[in-house]
Amino acid sequence: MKTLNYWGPCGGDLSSTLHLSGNEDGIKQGSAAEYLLKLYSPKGELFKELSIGIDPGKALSVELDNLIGELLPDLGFRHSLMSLTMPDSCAVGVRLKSAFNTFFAGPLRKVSTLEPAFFPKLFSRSISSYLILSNPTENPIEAIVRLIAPNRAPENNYELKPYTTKLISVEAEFDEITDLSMKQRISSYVRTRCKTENALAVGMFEQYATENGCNYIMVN
Amino acid sequence: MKAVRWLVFANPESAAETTVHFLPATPGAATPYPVEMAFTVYGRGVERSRLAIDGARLFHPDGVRIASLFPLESADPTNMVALEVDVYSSQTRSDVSASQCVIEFSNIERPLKFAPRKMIMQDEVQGNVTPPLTTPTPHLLMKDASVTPSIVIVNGTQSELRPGIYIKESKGGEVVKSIVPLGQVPPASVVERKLEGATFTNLYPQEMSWGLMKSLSVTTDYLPTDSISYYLIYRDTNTSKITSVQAI
Repeated sequence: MKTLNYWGPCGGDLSSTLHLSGNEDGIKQGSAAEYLLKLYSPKGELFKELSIGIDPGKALSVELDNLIGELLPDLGFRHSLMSLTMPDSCAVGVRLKSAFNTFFAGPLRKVSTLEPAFFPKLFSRSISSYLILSNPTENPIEAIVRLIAPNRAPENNYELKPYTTKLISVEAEFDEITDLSMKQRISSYVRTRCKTENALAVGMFEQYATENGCNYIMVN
Repeated sequence: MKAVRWLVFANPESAAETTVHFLPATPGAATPYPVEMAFTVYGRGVERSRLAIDGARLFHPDGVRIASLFPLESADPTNMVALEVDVYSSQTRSDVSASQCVIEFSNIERPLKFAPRKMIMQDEVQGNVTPPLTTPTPHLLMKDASVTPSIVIVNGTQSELRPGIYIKESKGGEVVKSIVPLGQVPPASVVERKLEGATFTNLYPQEMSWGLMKSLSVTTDYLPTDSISYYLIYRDTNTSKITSVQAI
């Protein structure tokens, strides 16, 4: 069995769908793939827990708008940490769809004391970047986020209670760089690490404003 | 010594519009000492070329546009370009296996950013050259009216490659592992292969709010030290633009 952590947002014209495969190793025995899906609110409340069985050779898709529509918006998005426990031979995908593009997201990256994560970040008027910090463990984690820009490297620490998710607007949290970017685009990096051995789950979600509307991407 | 290599491909729409972002790192704390980096490009119509750069330091993220290293503007856009990125250190006990990389394909509307396949390169001096055993990881391919999946294969070896991507299905109550027909890949090259419609023919479509969708689970078959990498990419059905890239 393995456990993977995904992040699913909804709101405005954005929707997410979770796709689950059957257990190909169970074909001969005819045994169903047993998934345990736990959905946590940004505050760390377990608000949905589902046991899902999928017959071999079949697949199942769950449209998340129906499950997380009751959550309060956070920075304009309803979003949830999705913790999935499943047999090793099962596969999962998250499909995100907006009015202008459809794309796929992998699991959140694991960060530990031994392995940091980083994301390129371009400060520009048309780009909004959101850093996703999730604590999928039962212990608190301190996340250390540093923005590395030319001649500046501000750092913020975030205390994450068990199972919470913090969506961080990079522009708002590092406004000194945002102010500088009013005159010119600034290339920078967001580096994340944590002090404890517990693995932090992180991701980067970005919104690109165009004349016609918003495009979104997840860094895979 | 542990070094790291990422094996990836340049932007298929314009190889020059590719940026490599990297974070050299060791497992655990270390002073930000200098590390070596090298970039190699090759492919059909592109002669293998390697360039080492100075200035990279541990825990200091940086990025480089491939066009600033290699004259790829003149590359034939119908041929895809393979890209190898190496991080290593001349210090014998160094271990840069925690290093990270993100590839960015520039695009007018929005870029694509993804982590490429990482290979840990063990030094023979250390006497530990046996690749760790890994369980094949399954990946989900999805196809609907708005996106079409295909596989990009980077063959960094000097021999022809038959891509080891498999599906498992039930035939007469037995589990049959069959290879996805992706043809042969020439040595030192990178190709994109569309998944034939037949691959999805026998699958049950699911009815979603946006229309019918089919999905398929595949597994890959290679050792962690093989100079081969596979990427699942999705293209917009209407514009053929790439919307997602995932290393598989």
